[in-house]
Amino acid sequence: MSDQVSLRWEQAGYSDVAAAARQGSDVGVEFANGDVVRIPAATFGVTDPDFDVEPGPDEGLNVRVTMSDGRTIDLSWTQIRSAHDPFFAQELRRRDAEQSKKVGLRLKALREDRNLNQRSLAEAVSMSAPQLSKIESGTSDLRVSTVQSLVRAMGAQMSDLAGPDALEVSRKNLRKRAEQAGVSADVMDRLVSFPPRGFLVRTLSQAFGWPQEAIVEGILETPQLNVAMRLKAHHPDPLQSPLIHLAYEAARAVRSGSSAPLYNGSSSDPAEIRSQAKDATGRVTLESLLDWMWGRGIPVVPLLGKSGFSAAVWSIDSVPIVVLKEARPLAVYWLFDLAHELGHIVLRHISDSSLVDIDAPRPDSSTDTDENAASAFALDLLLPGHRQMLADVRTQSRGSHLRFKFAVEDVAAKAGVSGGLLGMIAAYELVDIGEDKDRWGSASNLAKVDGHGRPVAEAVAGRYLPVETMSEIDATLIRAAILTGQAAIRE
Amino acid sequence: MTRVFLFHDVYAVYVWDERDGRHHRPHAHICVRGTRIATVFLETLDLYDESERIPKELMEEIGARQEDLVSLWIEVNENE
Repeated sequence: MSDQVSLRWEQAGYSDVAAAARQGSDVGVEFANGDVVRIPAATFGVTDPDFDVEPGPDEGLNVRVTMSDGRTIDLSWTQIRSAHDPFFAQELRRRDAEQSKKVGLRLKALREDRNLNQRSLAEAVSMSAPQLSKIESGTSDLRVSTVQSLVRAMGAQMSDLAGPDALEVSRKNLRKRAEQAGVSADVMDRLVSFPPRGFLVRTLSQAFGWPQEAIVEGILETPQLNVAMRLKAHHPDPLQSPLIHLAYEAARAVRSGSSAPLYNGSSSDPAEIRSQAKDATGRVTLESLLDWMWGRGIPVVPLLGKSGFSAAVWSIDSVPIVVLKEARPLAVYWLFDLAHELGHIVLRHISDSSLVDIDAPRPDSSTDTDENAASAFALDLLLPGHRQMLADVRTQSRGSHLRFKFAVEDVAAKAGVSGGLLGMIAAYELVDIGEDKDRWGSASNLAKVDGHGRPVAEAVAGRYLPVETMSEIDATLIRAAILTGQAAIRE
Repeated sequence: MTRVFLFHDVYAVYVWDERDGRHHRPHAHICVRGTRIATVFLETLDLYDESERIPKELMEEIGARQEDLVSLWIEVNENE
């Protein structure tokens, strides 16, 4: 079928009856686009030889046939056109098939999300399971009343088959496919269950760049993010997780909707920042550093999710925005990662492109100059004089992991720094004391004292994110993936 | 043929007997002053042959009346 033929029913006047009259034994109709058609009246079941034809009563959409006994038949334009135009009739069949397929798939998705098997649903509406299977595959010419019965039997409504969130795969399958595409279950669970009615597909599309029509069909392929960025990883060719797309979109939403002041540059001197960012006790804590950064116009986004990447710093309209993830939940790790990302900002590592740390930032052992510089900055900011502290821990440990924890606690207390933070750095660096598991066991115990990072980061972010004034889609994204309610746990 | 409702005195929505029209999925026609501007399938609310933009409010109205429109289609087309 040529394009010209296939599109003619979309042209003006194709469906509009301009005039109608009897022409011999035919119904003659002139359409508004100039088409004149003649169809034997018998085609429409008219057997009375003494009939009459005139334009119908409904806005030029039909033709009225009147019999000699006064009875009337109204013929719609679709009846007339499909009786005369085989291409149009074929188009109607194609649309019907397309709709049957969609309805079948949506019925199946509804059933699966209600944890009903085919047999029990089929029994509920007095049909066989194979019949239902055919309906769900869209190959059966199902009656509309059957669709109604199936919808009711599932406790659903016809509106569940329609609208922007009517999926052709179950939400359960969507989660599975998202996981295969690299979206961790914790993120997907919230993004699937959180958005209000009508916002599911739009939110997922915004978050991961998946086309809306593809999401409805369950096809989840994340496009490359069209943003200048460098991926920092131990692996030479790291994968670009869909969560990086989510991180960028979250950062963009925060950039456009936060009440943070405009960033105006910052000193790169860790001592100077330390003096400004410390809390009342003289320590730089996760909360005090978050407060300082937001107050300086550097939003910090605590993004949901454990996998994909560790942290990132985006430059959006020349504003730096840090995204932290909970690869490691304890606050001391969040604090080190945050200081590391701040290092990238003040050392101007993002002047020409954004930066994504795929692996968790470490204080040591990177061959990447920027990574080493950012980690050195973080250590100077959080643990000034850390070399001496580590030497003291080594001395007091006297080579035994049994004394490691107490040595860290003692040195940290004297220096006025977090024992959890010093323990983490010492566990990385003092590899000659005990085995890894021993040092890290002690470090984790010490780190627990400072609690978890997400509640703190959400509480501070919540002060700068007036979601009620943002666009609906940005507010939904932020509520689903950033402000998850963890701040309330901390209160 | 049934004109189901008139929206804002401009948009008329019709459901009619299409048993001879080779159609079996329920749909309605949206018309403005005697000209059809779109067809909407009543199960999915998908639009076809949109010759002008259908206002969001009209689609919301059709959505709100979806159950009634489907029942009317059944009454006209399936009850024999």
